[in-house]
This record gives sequence, C-alpha cells and structure tokens, in this order.
Amino acid sequence: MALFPSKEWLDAYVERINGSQDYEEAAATWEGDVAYVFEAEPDKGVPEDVWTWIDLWHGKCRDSRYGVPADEGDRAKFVIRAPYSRWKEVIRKELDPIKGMMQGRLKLKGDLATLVKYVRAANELVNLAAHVPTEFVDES
Amino acid sequence: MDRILASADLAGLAEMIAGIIRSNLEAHPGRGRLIDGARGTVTIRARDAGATVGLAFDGRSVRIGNAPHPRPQVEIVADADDLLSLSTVPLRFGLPDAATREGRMVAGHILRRRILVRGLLKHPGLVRRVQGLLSVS
Repeated sequence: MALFPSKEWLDAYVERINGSQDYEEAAATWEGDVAYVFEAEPDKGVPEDVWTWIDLWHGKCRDSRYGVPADEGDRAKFVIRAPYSRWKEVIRKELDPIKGMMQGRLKLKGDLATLVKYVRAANELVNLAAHVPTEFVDES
Repeated sequence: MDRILASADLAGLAEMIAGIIRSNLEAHPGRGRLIDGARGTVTIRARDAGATVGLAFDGRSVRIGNAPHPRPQVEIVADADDLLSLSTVPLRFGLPDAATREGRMVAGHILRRRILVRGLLKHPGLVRRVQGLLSVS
C-alpha cells in the first residue's frame, strides 16, 4: 500500500503505466511530459503544492520525478492541477477527469487539441492510477 | 485581428473549447476561414457535467463565454464523452464521415438524439463551421 501523495505512490503508478498494454496501444504515438500538481490542503495533511512529473513517450513512461520545483514542472507539455482532495476523487474514480475539466474542477494547461486526440490514453492513465493500492495521507 | 475573443473569466468547458479552437487555428491557420463570414450563436452543453459554453460569430471573430445563449441558432447537447467524440471523428465535407466506423457511430448518436444538434437542418453551414473548428482528427 503506497501513501498518496508520495514518491512510493508515483513509483507504483509508473510501474503500472509501463506494464499496461492498453496504455501502450492508446498512447503509441504520444510524445510529451506531464506534470500533475496536487494542490495544498494543509488541513488534510498536504501542507504545500506537490509537483510530480512523468515523461511519457510512445506508450511508456521513460522517467518520473516527485517533488519537482514548480518552475521546472511548469515547463511540462501538459500541467494538470487540482486540490489534493479532488485528485483523491479521481483516483477513487468518483470523478471522471474529463468531466472534471469541463466543470473547471481540474485545470489543464497545454495543447487541448492534442489531449482530446489522446483521450483514450488519458483515461487509461486514470484507470492505472486507480489500480495503485493507495492509502491517502488524510486517512493514514 | 484576433479571431478568438474569450471572456476573461472562461472556465471549464468554455475554456476547453476556446483552447481547442485556438490550438487548431495555430496548427491549421487555414481553418480561420471557418470563422470568416460565419454569423450566428451556438450553445454547447455537456449534459452530464452540467457545463455550458456560448459561441457568437460576428463574421470576423468568435466570442466565447461561459454563459449559454438564450436562443441560439445551433445548440449541441451531449454527455462529455460524446462531445469529445464530435472532436475526434473524421470529417467529410465538414460533417462526420459515414465511411468510417467512428463517423457512423457519431451519426447514429445524432439520429438517436443521444447527441442532440438543434438547428442542424436550418443552419447546416454554421454546424459545419463549428464542427471544423472543434475537430482534432
């Protein structure tokens, strides 16, 4: 069981990405890095924004980093940000990320047209996050 | 002159639609002709997300806002996933290409009113322009 958010959780997530045939197929031509920002909620055990970065390339994750500086993470091709508890809803599959973006509950920075083109891959990334055995920091 | 006039407070679906149109115009400047000469108002609703966007074409630009138009010439209503399928479906003559599996699926959704396109028969040109601006295929 990996604590979310943590480097252990990110490592487990990356392992699942690299083991997924569905993701590999859906993202076969994807080239670009993504930063997830878990925004601070001090009362829930996340005292400051946490930036994670994954380098996705042709259906695999080539590299990942936890706790990258904001100015570095912000240079990623895509930045998706939301408060910690909203990410928790996404990981628990209580919030569909596309619907969340349409509702303004998740914020995306990056080329929308590209993301829409790879929506199946994006959904698969969420499915994989949901499969990581997770303990949430505010419940630990 | 900027062809996209977006409200400063754009959020959610409206922000996404503005982003897609902006990306498309940057990648395919020729699509600017879809805005030139277009007139009319369009409302798009993501039914299950409870999100809306209003588009107003004035012949030279498209104004994008969070609020739906009260009496739009064209109104597109669909669930979030189906709205996205309108963006990814291959087009032929500006409409979903029935020669493709995805095109037939979207056409079927429109016929069964799972994707509701009000004003399609009265304003087919405006529907084609919107479809072209949103297409990422």
